[in-house]
Parts: sequence; C-alpha cells; structure tokens
Amino acid sequence: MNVNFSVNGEAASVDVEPDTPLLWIIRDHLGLTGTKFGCGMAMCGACTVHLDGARTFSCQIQARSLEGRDITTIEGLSPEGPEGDVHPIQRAWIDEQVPQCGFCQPGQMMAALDLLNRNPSPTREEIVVHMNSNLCRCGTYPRIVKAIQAAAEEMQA
Amino acid sequence: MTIQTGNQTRREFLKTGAGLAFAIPLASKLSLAGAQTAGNGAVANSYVILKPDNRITIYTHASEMGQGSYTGVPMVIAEELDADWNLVDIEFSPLSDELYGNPRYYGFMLTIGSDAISTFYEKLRFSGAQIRKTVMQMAADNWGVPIGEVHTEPSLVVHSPTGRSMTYGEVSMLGNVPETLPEVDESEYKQVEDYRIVNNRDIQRRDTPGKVFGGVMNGEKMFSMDVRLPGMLYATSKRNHFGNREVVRIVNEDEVLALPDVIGVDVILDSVTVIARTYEAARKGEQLLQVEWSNAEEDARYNSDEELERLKAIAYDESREGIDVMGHWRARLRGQVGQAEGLDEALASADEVHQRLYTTGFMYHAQMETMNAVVDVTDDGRKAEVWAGTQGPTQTRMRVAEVLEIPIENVTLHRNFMGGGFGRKAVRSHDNFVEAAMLSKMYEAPVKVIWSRENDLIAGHYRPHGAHLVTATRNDRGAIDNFLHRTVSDEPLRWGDPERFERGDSRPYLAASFWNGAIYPAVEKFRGDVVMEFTDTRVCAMRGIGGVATAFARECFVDEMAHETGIDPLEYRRRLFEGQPESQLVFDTLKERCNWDGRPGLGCAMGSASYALAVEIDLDERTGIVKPTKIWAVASYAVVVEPSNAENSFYGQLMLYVGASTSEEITFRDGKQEQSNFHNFQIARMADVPEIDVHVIPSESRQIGTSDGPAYAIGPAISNALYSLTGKRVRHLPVSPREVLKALNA
Repeated sequence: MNVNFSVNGEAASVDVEPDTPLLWIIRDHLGLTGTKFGCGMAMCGACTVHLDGARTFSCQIQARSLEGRDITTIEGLSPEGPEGDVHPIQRAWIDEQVPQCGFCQPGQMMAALDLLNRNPSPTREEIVVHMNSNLCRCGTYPRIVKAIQAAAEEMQA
Repeated sequence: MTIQTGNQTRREFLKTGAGLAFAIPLASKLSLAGAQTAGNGAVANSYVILKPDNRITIYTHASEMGQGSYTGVPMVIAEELDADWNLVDIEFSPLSDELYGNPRYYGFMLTIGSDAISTFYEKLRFSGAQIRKTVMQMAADNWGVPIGEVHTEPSLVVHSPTGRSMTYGEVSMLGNVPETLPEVDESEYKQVEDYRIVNNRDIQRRDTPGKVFGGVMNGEKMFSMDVRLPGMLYATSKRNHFGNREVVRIVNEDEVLALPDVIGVDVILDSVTVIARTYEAARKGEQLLQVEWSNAEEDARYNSDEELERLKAIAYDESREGIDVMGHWRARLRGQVGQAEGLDEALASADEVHQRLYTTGFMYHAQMETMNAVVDVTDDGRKAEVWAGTQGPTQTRMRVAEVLEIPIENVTLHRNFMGGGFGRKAVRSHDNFVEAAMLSKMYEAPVKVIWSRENDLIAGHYRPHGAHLVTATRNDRGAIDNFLHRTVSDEPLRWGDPERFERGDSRPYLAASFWNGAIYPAVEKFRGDVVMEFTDTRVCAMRGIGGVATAFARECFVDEMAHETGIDPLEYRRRLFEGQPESQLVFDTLKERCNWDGRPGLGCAMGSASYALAVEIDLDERTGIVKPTKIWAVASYAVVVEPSNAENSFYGQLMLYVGASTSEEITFRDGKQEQSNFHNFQIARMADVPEIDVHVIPSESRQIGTSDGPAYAIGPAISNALYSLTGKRVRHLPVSPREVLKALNA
C-alpha cells in the first residue's frame, strides 16, 4: 500500500505491505537509521520515536495506521547535526557522557524528550517511572537520570 | 586512507603513505619493548602518525563495544607523546595480528577480558615516549643542539635555553628521521603528577557525539546494523536451541517462499535463512518458518534443572577426576596463591572438613544490538567487503575468507562499533558473518543479516551453568587454610574458540577463573579443579568470564565459614588478607562507607584483591523478589586512564550483574528455552537501579582493566545479604524469585 505521512517536518511517502512496522519504514525505506531495533515487541524502547508529538514504540506501529501522521525521529532533534544548534537533550547527553555502547541511546533520548515535553521539571521518581520502558544493557541509567535533570534545567532557562 | 603494514622498510612506507611527510611504523621497536617487558609477549600494537598540519592520528587496536578504549588507548599514547589532545584524531587500526595481536590470546586481535588497555599499557606508553624522543632528537639535530637541551610542551618541541620552538607538525617536515628509533628508558616516562590527558576527568570519549546523533561519525555508520548498500537484500535466520544439530526438513518452505518479497529459504550450516527484498518480509518468513532438526526426540527430554542435578552428582563423584586449572598460572601469580601440594592429604587428615555445594545457571549476554552482518561479495565470488561489529576482527575476516574459499587479502573488513559485546561478539564461529557471506555469494547482491531477538537468544552462547563443590578446613583461629574448589561445567572455549580449546597446552580454562577472582592469601593450600562435562548447549565466555561463577561459590562459602566461627563476615575476609595492607584497606574503607554494623539485609563479598562491595537488599517474601537498594563498591586502581568513563563502566557492570544475579534466568524445559525475548528474560531496568556509592583508592600495584572486576562480587553479596536478613541461604546464582521461595520454604 502507499502511505503518506511526515517525518521530521518533511513529507514522506512509501509503498509497503500494510503490516510493515514503522521501525523498518524509517530505517530501511527512508534511510533514517538513528532509530534502533532491539526486541521487536515493545519491551526495550530502542525504537522509540514520537508519533503526533508523543512517544511510541515504532516496532508496534503498522503502515496501515500512518496516513497523515507526524513522526519525529532522533535525526529531527538537531537538523543541522553536531556542528549546528544542538538540542538540549543531546547537549546534556554529551555533557554528562551518557553512552557506553550507545545503541539504546536514541530511544532513551526520544523517551526523555517526551517526558520533558509533558513535565518540564520531573522529580527523580517521575523520571524513573517514565524511563522504565527503555532498556540499557550497559547500565548507563544513573547518567541518563543526570542528563534528563540537566536538560530539564536547560530547557526551562 | 590506507595504511600499509607488513615488512616494508620505513623509506618505502614514507613513499606509500601519500600525503604524510613523516610516519613512524612502530612494529620493530615495539617488539623490542616487548622483549624488555618479559612475559608480556613481543607483539607491536600501535601507530602514531604526525602530520605536517600538526594533527596527529593515533590508531586504536581495540574493538569498541561500549567500554571506551577507542578513546582510552590513544590517550595513553598521547600522554607520553606529550601531544595536544585537541590535535589528536583517532582511527581504528588496520587489521594485522602481527602488529596489533593480543599476546594473551595467541596473538590474535581480540578485545576480551577487560585488557584492551591493561595488557598493552606498557607498550602504549613506550610507543608514545619513543615518538616523543624521536621528535626531540630531530628538532635538536636541526638546531644543532644536544637533545638534553630540549623539552616538550603539548605538541611542541622547545629549546629550553633560548625558548625557540617547533611544532610536531613542523618537525614532521624536517626529513631527518633517524635510521633507528631511539631507545627509551622507563625513567624517561612522564610522572603521573604531570599527566594532562590520562586520569583527566574532563577528557570526553570521542565516540559520544556520534552515538548521541544516532550512530553516525565522520559521515560513516557506526553500527553495522545501520549500514545500507544499493541493491542490498535482507536476511533473517532461525537456529536450534542446541548446537551440532542438522536441518532434517524445512516443513513449510513453499509457504514461506509465497510471502511477498521473500526470495529464498536456504540452509547455511546449522541455520535456516530467509532472504528477502525487505527486512520485514524476511522477518515474517522467519516467524512462519517451521524446521525439523536432527536429534529432536532426545533433545525434547532436556531439562536444565535436571541437568544441573546431574552436574551436582558428578561434583561428588570421586571417580571423575578434575584438571588442576591453576597449573599454568600458579607460577605467574608468584606466591600470591596457596600451593597445591599436599592439599588432598591435608583435607583427608583433618579433624573437621567443611563442604558446601553451589550452582550457577546459564547467563545470556543480551547485548542490545543483536547479531548482524553486512557482506558484499563481488568479482564472481572472488572478493568480499564486510561491515562488522566484532571483538575479533582478524578472526572474522579469516572466517569469511574460509567459507568463501578466497584468500584473506581479498576480504576487506570495516571495523564497526558494537552495540554491546560482553564476549558474545568474540565467538569464533562468526555465524552471522558466515550467513551474510554465503547469501551474498549465492544471490550476487550485498546482504544484511539481522538476527531477531528471539534468534539471538535461542542461538545464544551462554555462560555455562555449573556445580561448584567447595571443601575446606579452618585453622585454630577460624581462618580457611586449605581450600579445594571443584567445578563441574562445560567449557566456554569449546564453543567460543574451539581452536584455542584444542591447543589447550598450559592455558587455563574459562569455566572457572581463579586468576580473576583472587584466592585469599591466608589459604595455605589451594587447588581449583575443573571437571569438564560436555553438552550440546552453546556456551562461551561472558563479561567476568568464569570468575563470576567461581566467585559466587567462594564468597558464599567464606560467608558461611564466617558465620560458623562467629566472626563478622567483613572482618573475616579482612583477616584472610593479613599481610596485604592494600587489600585490607579495601575492606576498611568499605566498612566505613557502608557503616557496616551487621544490620539485617546487608551483605558483602570480595571481587578480587582489589575490589569488594556491600549490598543492602529488600525482600518481597510473597514473590521472592530480592531488590538491592544500595550498593557500596570500593576498588583499588593504579592509574585510571579515563575517570569519567571508568565510573560509567563501573555503574554499568553493577547494573548488568544486579539483573544477572536476580531477575535474569535461562532455563530449558522439555528441550525448549523458557525465555525468548525481554518480556521473560528480564534485565535490569531503571527502576532496579539502587543507590550506588563507588569509592576508588589509589593503588601501587599493576594496571588492571575496570570493565569486569566488580561483576564477580554482586551475586554472592546479594545471597549473603539475603542470609543476613532471613537466615536462609540461596546457594544458586541467580538469586531468582523461585530460588528464594525455595529457600524460604525449606
């Protein structure tokens, strides 16, 4: 089927099977590989993107429900890349030196941004509850918390 | 840029290294360095390139799976080189066992066992110092002054009396490279207090920005899973729970082939692959695919609980002789561990012998990036290009060449970053690469293979489960003086690296790592025996290697002995380190940090002579769920190369082993794994993070890696904490809800 939607503010159109997960549409059909595959069953959060402004597991969203919708991926946060205007979330992730292997981090950042969009100054407890959806096998959790707190301050300033 | 390696002379190198005015191949000199530091082997490991524009390229030999040595290795070289860190560019080294092979592992390029920096430390320092001295000599000769009159500042040679100076870039254009590089004495190394790069908390990892921006660095995809090539096909694979099985029949091949975009269903070794125009089609095929495997009837009777009972029985069976795996290492540990001679006699003649049996379960790496590979076979099957996240890049290349039956030099391998490795990506069979290579050859197109999480788990190479029988005596002060640790287990190397296993010789085995989890020095007679019991479950080493299993048994046993003698468990351990103040200080510090007062729910364990930790737990008696609420870790390190990264890594391994010691379990029932994905294989989540207090004590002793030490101590500390809370012991790792309930109800 042909489906039209927008990704990071730009119109996109793909011809795929109706049950194709958004994850593979983004990664393979559109070439935006910042969003990662980790489990395929909404248990790890590596594939987290924003759908109409709220976080979602892109491995669970099928092509048939995408028409006219608005998607943001990790590539959409700082369109100019590292040399340009860096999004406060990514800035905080670099300043706090969060990543180890780094594979889960795009999903972590998209989940974190969703939290800060709804709750600009979350408590530690609120951060933990919200971020519990996203796995990190390297165990960078303590630094993720610090980075979210730093980004929250920055975004409020 | 292609860097030539091999036997060419320096002059030839200068000609071939286009655009470089000055390049120093270090191979021969580093061999010398190796010879000087006896026992470390004699293999070169690094390249430093000084460029006319004053930038410096430093090659890192190590594979990067998250541990940070991509940055740490060049930091050590840059420090001794006195380089301006802002002018240093890092690249993965070319593939060469001759230049970058790991002397600990038969000279292959292998990043395992936390030794990317520690094993190479002296050589890295030497290589930096030698280049620095060369640059000083060249500048001094140019100025016509003695080398004693020049010193360096970051990337600058200065004539001390006159203040005249030349940048490293300018020196590189002088052209007066000495025929032989100068000898460097250790006394010419920098003093630790003068370090600007090493041990500097403000130095950031170079791979961070790329990872924060989705995995792109210098325009290249960092992870092989993200690599895309024109006309690329996608494949998935389906494998059996057990190795050594053959595909008897593909039950529904036609059904799979009828799926839109599916191109083929093939048997590659012991795997059935589905290849398609899209990944989603290949995945659908994998889910639909039904395969009949050989040995199915017998396999259906396999239960891991029963198997563990069988291993326990073997542990008590004296007719099964164990191998003394300390043999080779005892000499190297030079008196740090008790002697084996007379142990059996001492145990046999003792008035009282203490014996306990412990078991450890399978553990799965669960690296976030599942096994994958991109291979493009071209030129009618004569050449191949490989994109690989691998802990052993030369072995991966060799394996691809072998299955394609082409010379190694026809295989170009791009070294990708890994989305986690933990030992899994060092497995010698490199099945994921074999699948991609064979399919690319067959379908004459670039192929990306991605294992689903289910396949990654099913075809996982676990840390083997095992039984540990500890038999010991105590002296009149209650301290353990004779200690026999008998391990019954499959051998990780047998699957992880069969070639190394076959070569065996004096190498220790990996099922039980007594050299990692140190033996208490108070123990006068010690032996670590391993009874190898082969099974068809795929196994290999995992972060912490066998030390995790052996430390669990040892540290639980020591705790039991402490309680039996009425001595406080922390004090008991401290006394076992009598005469070793550095290790005792670890325990003294730990006692202070955690306010060790014997309160219920607090337990401790020793990880090695340099690490100890305490953990406080909460227990839900209804569910059996044990949750660490606070961890205090104390470590004694020499020079911490990357303090910020070491802290992150330390937290990380604590978290990995909080999960691996409580909620993660791999079990088989009726021949099937009971776990398949993250819903029933539960690794630690953010809500599982306890409060963590890490304290580092400066050490005088040798350099050690920071990536897997504390791992050893978490499991036993949790079990010991449970005992202090309930008076019940779980003698099994993981301390899972079912084991806890079993103990509580016993």
